[in-house]
Amino acid sequence: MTNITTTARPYAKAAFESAKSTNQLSMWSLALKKLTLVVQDAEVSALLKNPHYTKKRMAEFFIELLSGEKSIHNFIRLLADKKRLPLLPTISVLFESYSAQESGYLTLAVISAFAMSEAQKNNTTEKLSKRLNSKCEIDFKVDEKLIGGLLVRSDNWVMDGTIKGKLERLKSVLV
Amino acid sequence: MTTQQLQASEISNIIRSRIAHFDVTPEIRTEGTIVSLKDGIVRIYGLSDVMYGEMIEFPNAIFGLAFNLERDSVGSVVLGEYEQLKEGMTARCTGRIFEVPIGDALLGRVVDALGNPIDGKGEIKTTLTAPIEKIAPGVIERQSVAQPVQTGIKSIDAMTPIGRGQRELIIGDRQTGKTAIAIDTIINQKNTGIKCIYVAIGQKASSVAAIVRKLEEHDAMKHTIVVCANASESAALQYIAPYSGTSMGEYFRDRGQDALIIYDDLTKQAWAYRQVSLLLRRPPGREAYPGDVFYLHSRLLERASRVSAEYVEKFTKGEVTGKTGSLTALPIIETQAGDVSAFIPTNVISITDGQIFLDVGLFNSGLRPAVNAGLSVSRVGGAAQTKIIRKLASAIRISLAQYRELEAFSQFASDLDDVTRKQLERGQRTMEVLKQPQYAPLSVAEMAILWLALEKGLLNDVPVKKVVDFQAALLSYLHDQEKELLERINCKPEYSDELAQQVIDVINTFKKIYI
Repeated sequence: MTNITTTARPYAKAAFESAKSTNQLSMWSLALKKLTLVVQDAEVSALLKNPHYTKKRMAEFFIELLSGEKSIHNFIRLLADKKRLPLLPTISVLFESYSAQESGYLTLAVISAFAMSEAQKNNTTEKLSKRLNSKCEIDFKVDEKLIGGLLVRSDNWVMDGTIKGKLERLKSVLV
Repeated sequence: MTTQQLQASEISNIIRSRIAHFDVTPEIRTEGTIVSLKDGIVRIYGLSDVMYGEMIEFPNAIFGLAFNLERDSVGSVVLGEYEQLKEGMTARCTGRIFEVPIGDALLGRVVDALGNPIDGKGEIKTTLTAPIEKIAPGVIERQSVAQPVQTGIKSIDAMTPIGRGQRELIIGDRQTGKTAIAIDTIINQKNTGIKCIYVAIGQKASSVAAIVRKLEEHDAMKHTIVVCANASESAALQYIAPYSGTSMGEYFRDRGQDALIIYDDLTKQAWAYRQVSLLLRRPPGREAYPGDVFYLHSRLLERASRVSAEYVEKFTKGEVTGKTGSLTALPIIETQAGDVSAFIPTNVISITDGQIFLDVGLFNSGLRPAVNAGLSVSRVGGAAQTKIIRKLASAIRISLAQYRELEAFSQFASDLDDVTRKQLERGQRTMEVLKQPQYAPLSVAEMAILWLALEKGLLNDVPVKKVVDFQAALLSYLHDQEKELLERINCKPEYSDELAQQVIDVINTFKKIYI
């Protein structure tokens, strides 16, 4: 898992910068998502491991699936040449996080014990945007195990205001 | 036992105050996920702002140390049991360096590398803690070594004296009496005010138990802390044990007291560190040790020091004034077949202020403690030696060196001239005087009288084979008849001709009874 991210990062960064310079972020994003779905298909992933297909043929196969810019074709040829086509899903995830960063939106997950009403959701979004000094794109989730309160998570950053978390901390103070 | 002694109200009061002070604001932290687990090494994805050496908390109050900070993962060693950990569990940063309890309450106790009591005597009643890794005092805060640590061992106090704040290495093969020297030194610190810390690394639990029992027998546990990371414990614990012990010793040093710490032994700690490093996939270097194995020992031993009165005053915020503090270190290194040029021995020799080299040959020939006078040195202890011992024992090293040179000729004793034969006999008697049984450290006065007897040639009419018996008889006579003389020398250990004459008279009187 960790190794894949490390190897995928330079590709994703290069793809993102190339897309940004030509103002084609949405096209690249869509193409990468499409390719991810293709690579994740069981038959295709078997095909990637098949030694009968040359690198060139593999690249042509993926390019046929896409219409669009020449730069993206070159990107696929490069991946095929370096045998990095299986990295496409990770590249896509990293690409999305780069574009989210660029747009100034923070992607957050807010987990609560009960489903929140629209008003509560708006209120949370507003307060978090103010607190974090940036616009937020929030994914609301429900987890009954939290008992009460909110858990805000972004990547590996966590703000824990849940009753479950507080009880756990109280336990560690007392024991 | 202790829980029965506690009153119910006391417990609820503590709980009430803890609840009252409990912080209820939302906690902000970074989290990671365990992606792999093997042999006590955990690889964590996430934890992007973890610091090197920081404590990482796993579920069920299991802790680890962050060792390898890589781009997308963190390599960490688990302290203690890791069987409960599973892939996918969360790990969080604590923002703290690992801490152990410190304080006077630890004296007389046996604790593990994390500071938990393992002697069955209940909880350790101290509120103070200190991080295990600290930066050693700087140049300005230090003072040069000027007071002695009396080991009570004749050969060491005479030839390689140790000062308070010094680092003196004890090095030798297995079974040459390295631990015996350390234990005798601890026993001799009774009533001197020097607090002792004995750190046992990678030893059998039975050996440690035997040592603790011996210390108890000699009433030496009262001023001693035993920190122990046994052979059965994880490599991570064996690696941190010396640092934990040093933090406990620094408590005394920083408060204007004197402490002595023994690391038994650092070879095993280096092995434990090598194991951890190789499992973390750090590149192996010489003898498969990682590149920073020198720093492993240098940062540890640098913390043994003598600090100035100003440092102590500043540290205690004026509570203790006019007192210097010291932490003396006696690291132990085990060599393989007397090879002092292996990696770890050369490293530690170069870090310390001298070494006591124990020789298998000498040990087997019956000279115990088997201190090799030629290879043992003390680079700073000379300044701290008591005046009387310095005066009387300064010639021993040279006379031993001459003796060794002539020893080869001793087989042709009949053909030798008078001067050479006398030198040989003198050397033989010196070797006999250096012999000392275990668990019988001597006071300065006792040692001074024995050296004076040798120096003034009072042993010349005692047959070489009887010298050991003669010494024992003389010492028991002195304790019986000349208590005042012993006390006088112990109070004021300085040489004067008048004192020498008095001692010579006493020995001559004794000889009339003995021979």
